[in-house]
Amino acid sequence: MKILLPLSFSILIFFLAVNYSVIFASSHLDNTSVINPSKQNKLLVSFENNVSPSYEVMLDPNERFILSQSYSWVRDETSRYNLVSYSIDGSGPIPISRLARGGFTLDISTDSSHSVVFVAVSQFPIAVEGADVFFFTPESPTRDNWFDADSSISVVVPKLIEVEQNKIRRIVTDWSIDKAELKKVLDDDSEFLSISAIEMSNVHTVDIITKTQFKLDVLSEYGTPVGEGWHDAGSEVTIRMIPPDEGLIRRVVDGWEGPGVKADGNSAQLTIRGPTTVQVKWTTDNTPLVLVIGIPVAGGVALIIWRMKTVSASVKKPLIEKKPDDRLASMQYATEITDYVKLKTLENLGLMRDSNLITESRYLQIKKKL
Amino acid sequence: MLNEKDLLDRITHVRDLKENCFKYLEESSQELLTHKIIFAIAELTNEKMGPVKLAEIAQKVSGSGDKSKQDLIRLTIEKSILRCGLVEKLRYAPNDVRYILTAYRFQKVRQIDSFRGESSEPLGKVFEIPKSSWPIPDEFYILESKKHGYNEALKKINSDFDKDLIPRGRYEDLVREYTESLNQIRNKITSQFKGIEELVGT
Repeated sequence: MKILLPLSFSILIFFLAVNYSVIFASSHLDNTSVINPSKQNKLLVSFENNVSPSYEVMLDPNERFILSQSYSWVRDETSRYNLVSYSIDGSGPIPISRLARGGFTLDISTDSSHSVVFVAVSQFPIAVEGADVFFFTPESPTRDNWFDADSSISVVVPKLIEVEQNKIRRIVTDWSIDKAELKKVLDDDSEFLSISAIEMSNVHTVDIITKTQFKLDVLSEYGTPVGEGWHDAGSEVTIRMIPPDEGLIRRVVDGWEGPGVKADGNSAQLTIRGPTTVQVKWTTDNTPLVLVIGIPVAGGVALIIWRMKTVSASVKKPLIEKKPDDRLASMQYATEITDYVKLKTLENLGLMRDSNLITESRYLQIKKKL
Repeated sequence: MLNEKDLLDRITHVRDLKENCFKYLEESSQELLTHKIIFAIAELTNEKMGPVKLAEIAQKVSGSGDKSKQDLIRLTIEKSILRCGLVEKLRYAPNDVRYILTAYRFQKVRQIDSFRGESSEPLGKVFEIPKSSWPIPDEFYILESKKHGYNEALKKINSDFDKDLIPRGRYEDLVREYTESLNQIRNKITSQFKGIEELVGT
């Protein structure tokens, strides 16, 4: 037993030693094939205008090689480089899809040496503060807020931003670029503020200044309100009612209901602190009706009788009826019916126009075809 | 160009829209650019009976077809109404892109997520783009008008016969002739404009 144990241990050691030597030999053989200069191909990667350091990569003919390059990389504190195109082995430039983030990859054949030259441009960012909705025109080539150096762009902002439908909105009043002097927004019909000709040779900030407006609604059973609509937050507003013109029954404003409303007859004042609804109460003044009660009834009755006679005379006008005529038995009747069809057809087309089913121009176009 | 059937299918089909997309159609949005673009596309499609170009939309919406206006409208379409599925973008050639509404009737829906899966619940009535902007061919209106004309003529022929204004022989010939014409028109409307007559309510 004392002899057998060392023997078996020796056999084990020997077996392991043989196996390791085989593995090592194999590994050594592989390494030799990789680093043998005679079988090596190279890939030289460089950048036009040296916007990034060049480098070399050894290519193994037995393996696939994927070249990877970031779409964007830092230029300095305020700018970046962005890939535009590449050329391989001196070929013409091949455009690269403009993207802000991620990496561009290129499958390089490893059976020979190659050179790849990347072309990148400088880009500067622009920030828009104070507006949630805005557009750049033209759009950023990288679909973000970065633009190619020396490009000229516009920032377009809606002048009206609805915060809460029919209740709260914000109106753009002023703007500035790079914290310079504030400029007033022109009060014209344009729906958008367009800040144009911004030269992207540096980083820029656009500040949009807005004011908040609240909607004032006046609820009234009668009359026409004056002063309802949108008002600046904190503004003092006077509203008034124009009573309806209803002849003998006169409507009079009896009161106003609403937050902080100071009533004064047909008008009222309030300070706008939020979306507000004011209700108008009315009463009836019958004085004019009482005044006309003395008007002789007989005159009115006589007028009514006279009017009825006039109407009945016009209603009783004799109808011109067609009497049986031998002609109707002839072909002429068929012609009359044909004309009648045309008349009714055109009448129907006219109805379609009147009910806004078709536009006037469409009506005229179809009428010609009929 | 789209064929007539494709245009008519867009009218008969009711498209579901989520609340945040349906808002573009509502009256309260009529001052917004998105609303104007949708209705401009509808009106232009009605005039041209097919999809419309960006320049045409810009001209209709802003009265100018210059590049900056086109860019603004393109961005608005791409960022909002195209994503909502209100408008479809068709590329005829690399530099010929046109737009058309996906439907002319829309149902506001609320998305419901539950353990049974995703479903939607309709909210309110179906919204219709004004019928005067529907891309219905002239032929439909011609047939509808003629149908009315022939119907009225048959009523008159019957009435005149009752009053002994026409002899029986002539009456029967005319009734046969006009009934046949009327039936042909009805068949044509049913086969070519299925579903449209009910929606238009002529």
